[in-house]
Amino acid sequence: MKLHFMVPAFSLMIFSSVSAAVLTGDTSNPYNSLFKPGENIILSFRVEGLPAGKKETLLLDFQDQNGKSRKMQQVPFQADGKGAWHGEISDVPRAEYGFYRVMAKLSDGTLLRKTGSRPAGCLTYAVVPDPALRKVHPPEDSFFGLHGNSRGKATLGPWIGCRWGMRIMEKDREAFLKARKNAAWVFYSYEVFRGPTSVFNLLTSQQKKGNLIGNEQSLRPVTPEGERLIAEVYRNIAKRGLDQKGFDKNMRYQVLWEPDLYLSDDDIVRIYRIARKAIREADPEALILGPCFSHIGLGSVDAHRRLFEKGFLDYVDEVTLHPYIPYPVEENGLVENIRALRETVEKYARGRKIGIRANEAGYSAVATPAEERIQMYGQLRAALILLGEGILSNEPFYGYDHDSSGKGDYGLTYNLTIPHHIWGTERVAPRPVFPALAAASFLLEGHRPTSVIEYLGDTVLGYSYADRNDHCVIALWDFSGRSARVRIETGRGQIQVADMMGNVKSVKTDGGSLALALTEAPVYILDVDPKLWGRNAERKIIPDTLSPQGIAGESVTISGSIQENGALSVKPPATFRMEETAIPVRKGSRYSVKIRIPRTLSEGRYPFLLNLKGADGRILSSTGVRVQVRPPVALEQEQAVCSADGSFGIRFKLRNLSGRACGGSVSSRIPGVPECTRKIKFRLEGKQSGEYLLLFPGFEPSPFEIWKTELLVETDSGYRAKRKGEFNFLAASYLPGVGRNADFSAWKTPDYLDLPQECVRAPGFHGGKNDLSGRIAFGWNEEYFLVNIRVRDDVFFQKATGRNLWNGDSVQLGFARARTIPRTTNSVGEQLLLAFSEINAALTPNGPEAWRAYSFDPENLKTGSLSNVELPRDISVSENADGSTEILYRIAVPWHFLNLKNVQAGMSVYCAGTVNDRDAEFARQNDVSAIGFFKLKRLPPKNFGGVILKK
Amino acid sequence: MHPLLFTALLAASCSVSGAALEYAGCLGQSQEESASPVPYTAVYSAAGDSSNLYFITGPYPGAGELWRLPHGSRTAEKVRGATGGTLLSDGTNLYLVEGRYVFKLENGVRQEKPLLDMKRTYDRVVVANAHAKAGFGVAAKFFAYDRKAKKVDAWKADGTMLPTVLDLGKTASRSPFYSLGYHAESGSLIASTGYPELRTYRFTPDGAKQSGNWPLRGSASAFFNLDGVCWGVEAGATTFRSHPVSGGRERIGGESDRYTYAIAGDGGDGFFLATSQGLKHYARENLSECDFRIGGLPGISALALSKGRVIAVCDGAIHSMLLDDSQSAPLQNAGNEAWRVGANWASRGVAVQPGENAVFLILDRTKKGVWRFDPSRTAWGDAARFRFEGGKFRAPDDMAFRDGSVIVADAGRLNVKNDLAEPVTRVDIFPSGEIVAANTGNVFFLKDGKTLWRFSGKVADIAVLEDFIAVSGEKLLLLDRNGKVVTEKDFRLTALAAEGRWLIGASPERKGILRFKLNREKE
Repeated sequence: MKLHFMVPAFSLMIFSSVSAAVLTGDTSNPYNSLFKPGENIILSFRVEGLPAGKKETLLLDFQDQNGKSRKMQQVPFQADGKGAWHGEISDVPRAEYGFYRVMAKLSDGTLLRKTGSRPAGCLTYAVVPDPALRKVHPPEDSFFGLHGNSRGKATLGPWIGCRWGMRIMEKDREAFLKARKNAAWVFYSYEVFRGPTSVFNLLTSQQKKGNLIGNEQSLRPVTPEGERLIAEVYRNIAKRGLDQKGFDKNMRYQVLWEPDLYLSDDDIVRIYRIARKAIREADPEALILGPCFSHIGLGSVDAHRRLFEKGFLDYVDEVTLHPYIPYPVEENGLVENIRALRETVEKYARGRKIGIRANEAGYSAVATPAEERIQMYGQLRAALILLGEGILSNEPFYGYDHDSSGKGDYGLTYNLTIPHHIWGTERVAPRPVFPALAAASFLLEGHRPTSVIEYLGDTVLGYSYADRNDHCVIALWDFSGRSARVRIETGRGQIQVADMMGNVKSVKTDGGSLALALTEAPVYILDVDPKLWGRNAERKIIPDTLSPQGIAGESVTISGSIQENGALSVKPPATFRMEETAIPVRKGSRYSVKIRIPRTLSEGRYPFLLNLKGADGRILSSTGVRVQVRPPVALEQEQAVCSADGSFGIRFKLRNLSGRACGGSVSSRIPGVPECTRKIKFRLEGKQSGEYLLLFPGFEPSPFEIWKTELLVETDSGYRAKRKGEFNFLAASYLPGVGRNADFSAWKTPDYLDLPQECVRAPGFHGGKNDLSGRIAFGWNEEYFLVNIRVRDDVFFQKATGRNLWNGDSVQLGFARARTIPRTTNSVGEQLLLAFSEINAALTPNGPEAWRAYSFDPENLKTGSLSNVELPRDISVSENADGSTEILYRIAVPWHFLNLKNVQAGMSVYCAGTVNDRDAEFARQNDVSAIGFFKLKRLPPKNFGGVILKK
Repeated sequence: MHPLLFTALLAASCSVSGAALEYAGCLGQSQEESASPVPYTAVYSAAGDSSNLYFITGPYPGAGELWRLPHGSRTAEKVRGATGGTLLSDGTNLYLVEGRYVFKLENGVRQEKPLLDMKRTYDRVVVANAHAKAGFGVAAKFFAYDRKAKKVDAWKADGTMLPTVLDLGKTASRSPFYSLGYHAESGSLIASTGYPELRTYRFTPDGAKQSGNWPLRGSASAFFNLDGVCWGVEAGATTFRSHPVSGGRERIGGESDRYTYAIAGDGGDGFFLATSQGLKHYARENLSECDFRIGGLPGISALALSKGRVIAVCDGAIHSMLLDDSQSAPLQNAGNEAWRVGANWASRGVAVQPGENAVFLILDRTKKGVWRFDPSRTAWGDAARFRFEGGKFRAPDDMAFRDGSVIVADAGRLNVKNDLAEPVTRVDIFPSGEIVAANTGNVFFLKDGKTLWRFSGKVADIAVLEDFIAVSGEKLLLLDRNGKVVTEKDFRLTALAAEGRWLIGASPERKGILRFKLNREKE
């Protein structure tokens, strides 16, 4: 027998069974599936479409938010004469607070039917704190809110503990009272001028004409009459507000919504000036909120600063913000950015105390357990940080899913009536984030921050909070994705610790010291000693710095002052291999402890706990510092290089950080590539730096592959540090004069590289190599970075122009000066250093067009069409013998497009791109397919590839 | 004879067409070239004194050799053959337990006369620390556990047997005790229960099990005292302190060290674990990642090389390395725990080839099919790491891939059209489609199913290396596409694999893998 089979045939194909049966189910609270502790929970299931009398089994698996099974159950049944069955399950897990996902299917594989945005195969419910047990606090002590609530019996507010949210002013007091009928839940709010109360809707077309321009969110006056008109609207709404205060002592008005996306700073300031005056005329006690910028990522603090420089803060009483930020929030700088924003507000507030509110932020999560965990941790930890950093209130976005696709989006709950009834739904079911936020608000509402706990580990963060009665709670977590073991002083012999969902257990401490294994799921330590953590806790240990620095093999001094008599214990981490040190201290004195840093200790921040103990051994105060250990020799500025003979390698700088001479070696490695194993020796005098090069002759890397590199520094004193990096190895040829006046004729024999054949966009429209393939070459000279792309396309199709030219046969190219830079709070500076821009080019009906789609410097390098003078290019199409077309793109990118002036051989610049392909009109092909090199659209320019300028 | 068929003689001229094979060192064998290779992979016992570490390596527990590794060195030397036992240390002296006898070791040399005759063999033997001043160690020196009788017997240092010191049958545990240790910190005896309880109990001389923190979570197959701290081993090592603070148990290594048989100090502040993958060293700075390994890699039946990753199939185990690894680099991804990966791997891999997405496909002669092995999957219990993909062969010997098709040498025949009259057991293929097949005495070159030439000589394996054919046997040969010997090297290799300019071969003599680079410049 001759066998000749294909490799993919090894992959086993699994076909799911096909059944006509329909399985549906719900909980005994079908409105929102939220339950109080102890409340009876009944699940009801209905099956239809089975063969009459068929015996079947309903399989149930009750899982928690981590997919861990808590209970499995099999329910055998027999369909009736019509092939239907209905049954109820009452013995379901409900003893603990938390999220429960019931995976439900029949034994023939029929999954529970998808309902709204809740995916097929499951229903969910949650056990959350009894709303009746939630205390009411005054607005200044209330923090937790919710953006977007479901209606009727599905209301989420009391279940999640929402005390803050937006409102839309009713027409008059009568309507207000009618709407608030039976509203017992205390809720503080602000008017948002949206929907029926938006300025845009309240002005007629006739009024707007000539006086105001823009759509609903970008509406702005262009004449004095326009200013008068919008002032009138703000004034009228504020007048209405005087009769509709409800639980609010002062009415709050959010004048604009995410205006940074639609309006210039000057327009924002102008509109706020008008609105504040008008609102205050109607209600002198009204509070004005703004600017409500759309995120707290890279650049947003600086955007606030620019606005504040124009006097914006004179027109608001509370700053509002939508702190959207990627997960993990800590690594993406939420803490640093909030602090920087707070400092910026303080700097420009002219002595006024202006607080900050967060009134919308969240995570769009497709309804998969993995994305929902990110949503849960992201929302919860952002809330704990915002509360801990002194933000006044926070509104997670959004109460329920509202994307009509029904795949799951920002909702804290599934919307069970998508797509028929989206807004104001009356049927929802919880996602994991909901009970986590409900627990946080239950445990922490009424509390305000008393201290930040940053010294327990490099990836450990936490806060202590206290309420007016000095009831103290600590929240702690590790954001690395791994676990961290920490110890913290509680001042209690026994303490209650609550998990992320609010389940409390009592834990014995070691004389007040509590050992915890932290993960990405925060834990709450309840009722810690207010003398240590409370509002009036005296900070009896005052370190000089929270981050003393030292060099491995040398010593570091931990010092500060003491406000009480006692013994100060300094507890090092285990990696320091030294015993806890205790020194007697006196009130008002200074302490100073010299710590020897092990010579082999790797670079990092190491937590030291500082406890002040009284004569009776009781801990009077507890804090800590993180010792920043630096290497004796720092390895910096690694860069891929290409020698004149074409050998690739890595260049780097060594800096002796200590004052003493230091010698050793640096070894290179690219795992799996013997040609890259090289070693050089170095010797540097104290504080001296030197540049070094490791070349890899014989290494023939594929140009678009990212290689993992390792550089091992070993000093004669025994210090070892391995630096891992990622590089590609690709060189641009030196081509003097090419590109000037769009003349590329001197580039006669480009060193073409085959573009990766992998489809990176709309694979359904990509027909493989015969449909689209390409080759690329890079060049450079003193004026330009040169790109030459030769594309083979079965059909040339390009009917778009201008900003839409990407939507036909075209190239989209990203350029940057750097892939990443160290984070700073100067986001403008960061943008200039990265210098990322995207330029698209195509042969359109208008000729060789180019369009800058993104600019790092919108003021000087505007987005929009680029002339042939600004961006010299030559784009042509020719026909091959086989009928396919050859599209040749030759583009000269001036160096100032990458914020570079004096380029030199040996430098690297960064780029990525796609070659887009359309073969037919939109009606037949609703997206362009593409191949590409590196990753243009994934967190640009982080995933760009480097191009070495070779000479 | 077919006019296109000719026989090239082994003595054909060398270095005809300007290519050479450059030897580039060894993988999987920690010893320097000048030293005798460590003959086995697994190390079943280890203990150290102030100058050296001693370890027993062998094909299976109970049959091995005693080796010495001076502190600070990576080159070991054989001390004694035919040593099937366990090394013990009391912190001062070293002992060797062989059957019913306990011998003292002096500088690694077993004393003629046993120190102790236990009169029969036991399942576990442990020793109290030198100068023990508390607990069991005051009255006795050696303790031995009989699993069947569930009793621990003890002897004084002078060999006097004491009445049974501990009856584990009296302890109500959910699972039987399977190990025994002496807990130097407290002078107690400790013992672990097996699955499903997996707890470690501590016992005082009065036979009572101690409460409080004990029994501790976790079990260990053996216990060792290093600088007064008790370590238990199973998959890596974990401390078993008297008063473990929650979250405070130190750990060395982990699941990739399954199975760990012993732990010993390295003379400094690092540790060695004796494991089924060799003697693995852990520096104090990083106790979770092994930095080097002492041991060999014998019994390789198939090799593969893809994107710098080397896969070596040995009897019942699959080891992974990187092409540029140092000779003492730790082995990765041992696929020798069938129950761990859920695929019941206990078979005979005769060929391995890189598949799509960095997986490897292993041809199994016993199962007569192909396994899919994904070395990137290292998480505990990840069943996707190792899967049986199927296939229906009669007696497969080798396979090769080209353009998504697989060519198999099965029951002596290739599964593609060919004119071969003799059975073949090895096969490889050029990117341009020509097939190279071989049996133990011949290499055949086939184009479009027709044999163009035959090369006669002793053949263990073949591998296409760029434009050449590498042939292992009594020597390593490089043939060109015409069957001429381009170069030969005096290496006796078995399994071969090649990628780019790199060739690797299993060396039964060096008990490891030898690397060669094709150098075209050297005429």
